[in-house]
Amino acid sequence: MEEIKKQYLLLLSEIIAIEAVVLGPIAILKAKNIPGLDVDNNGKAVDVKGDMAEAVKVLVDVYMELSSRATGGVIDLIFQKYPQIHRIK
Amino acid sequence: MTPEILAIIVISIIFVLFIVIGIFIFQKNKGPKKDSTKKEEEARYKAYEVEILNELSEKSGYSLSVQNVVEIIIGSLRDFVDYSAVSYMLLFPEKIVFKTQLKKFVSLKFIEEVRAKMIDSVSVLSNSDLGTMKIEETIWGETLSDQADERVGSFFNIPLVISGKLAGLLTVADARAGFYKEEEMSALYKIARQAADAVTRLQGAVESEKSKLNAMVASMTDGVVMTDSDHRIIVANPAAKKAAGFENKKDLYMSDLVLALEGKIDLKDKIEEGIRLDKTFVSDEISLPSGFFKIVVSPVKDAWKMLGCVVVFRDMTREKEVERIKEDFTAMIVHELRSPLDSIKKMAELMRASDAKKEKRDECFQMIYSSSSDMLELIGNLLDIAKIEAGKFEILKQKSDIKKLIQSRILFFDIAAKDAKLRIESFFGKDIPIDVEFDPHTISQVLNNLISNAIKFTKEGGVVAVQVLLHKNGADIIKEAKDLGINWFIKNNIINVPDSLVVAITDNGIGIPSDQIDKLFNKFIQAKSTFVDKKGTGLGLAITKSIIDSHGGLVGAESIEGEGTTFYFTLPI
Repeated sequence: MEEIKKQYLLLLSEIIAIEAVVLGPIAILKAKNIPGLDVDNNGKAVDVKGDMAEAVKVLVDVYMELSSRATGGVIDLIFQKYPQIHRIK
Repeated sequence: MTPEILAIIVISIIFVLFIVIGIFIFQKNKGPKKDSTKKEEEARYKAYEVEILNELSEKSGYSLSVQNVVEIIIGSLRDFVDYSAVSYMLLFPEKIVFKTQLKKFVSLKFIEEVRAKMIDSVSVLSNSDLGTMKIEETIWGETLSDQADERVGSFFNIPLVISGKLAGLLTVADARAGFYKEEEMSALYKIARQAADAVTRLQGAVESEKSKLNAMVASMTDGVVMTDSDHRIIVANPAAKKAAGFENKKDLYMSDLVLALEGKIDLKDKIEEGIRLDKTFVSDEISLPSGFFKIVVSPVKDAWKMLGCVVVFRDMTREKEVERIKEDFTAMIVHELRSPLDSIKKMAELMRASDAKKEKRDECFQMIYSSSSDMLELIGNLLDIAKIEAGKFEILKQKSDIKKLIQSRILFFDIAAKDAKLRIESFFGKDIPIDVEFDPHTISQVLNNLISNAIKFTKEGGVVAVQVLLHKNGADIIKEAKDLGINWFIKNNIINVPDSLVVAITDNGIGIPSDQIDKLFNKFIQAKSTFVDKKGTGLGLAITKSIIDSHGGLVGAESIEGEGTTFYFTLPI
């Protein structure tokens, strides 16, 4: 359980980091608003509570909306690095 | 309790009461004020959104580019948020356009930092390193300041997506750190998305029209090439590629066209001249490997500016061919008239000689008669063709007996057949009506032509057969002929023929090559074979076709080289 959570936190941190490059600091602000997700000021995901897959989905949806879905390909590439994480689409 | 103490207590209670009431009133007023500020903010976002969408809608009639969208957003951005610089980046296959509007004095370093952040963003989004690409940079608004040394304190990037593709990036930046509130950034993302969506929808409609136009241009038989104002080819239809000799090339470049026309016209020069002087250029006929063409170069402009040029390759090959055929035809007719005239002249000279004997004079008279008859026939045919062309060739239909007509024609050609040492036979199927509506005069002309041709091209000892059958609509003509024991060269079924008389003239002569059959009925093109080595202009068959067409019938021929030929025509009953 701890291992999978670690994977989720790494995935979330990676998504936030890449979106901070794409969109700017708003990516961190938006991540901080996701229920159950604890993100520090540098955009690192430090904790995630509840349904972790759902938290990832909500975060990805927010970025997809902000980028008019332009960021979909980038996020797909990140997910490929975490095959053990189930992605809700 | 002394009165003084009591007074102090009462005053204290009153003071506390005032404070409590004051706090209560303050708290009570604070809520609505907060709500009202929020509402004001929302109204401001909404007004900005409406303003941008309205402007987009107004301008969409003549401009739909992503550049227009960002410029409209930037145009009224200062009413919405404060910023030091607002920049946009547009992605093109060969370059990146980077434009920045400065609202405040900033240093070059500030601009460089914004540009680097935008390049990082678009590189991630396009999954490629765009750092090495050529960047076309423009800065307007306030001037750059050498004194200013602020760095980018806060910024946000808005990807611009048109029709599902990343078209560019809009970045708002300020020197103050943490300056932008989440709400106003979110509102601007939403506005930019709505603007891009509006453009996507409009572009969808334009694309649909464009694809119709492209299909139309692609189907044109003339070659069409369109260039932009930088002489780059934006459209080249298949006919243009074929004309220039690049039929199998996917993308045609200006250098290809210039090379294809080298030594004939200087295309680049003509395009530049056309754009500069707003003038259309039409070339003389030029010969290219795929045929003869006239090149037309016309400038293309809208109400405001020159958009480029259109180059049309007008295919003149067919016209050239027709011109050549007409020249050949004229030469042939002149020859056909000159030969009998020469004979007449020579015979007349011979007769003028006082010592010419009666026997010789009679022979001369006969030759003069024969040559002048040939000339008259030719002139008669030319007049018929002229009438046909002018639509003045008259058909006078009346109830007629085909059997009698054919028999009279066979009798007429009997002497000629005997002279040629061949036989003319006739065959009539069952129930041939004797009162079919046709013009006996012109059908007689048709029979004369077909029977005389058959005699002309059949060797000694041969047979010419004139066969008639009654065809019923829907029946198989070949089977109908077979059932009647008719022997002919028709192997391909003649379809969609209503109830008709089918008249076939079959010979066992030299035959006609299959590739020449189609040319038989064309007045200007003579079949090339031993078939036409014999005397004749071929006009008779063209006249035959016109006569049968006028009767609503069909005419055709089938042949086996070396075995014989069947010419046929139908007359609807």
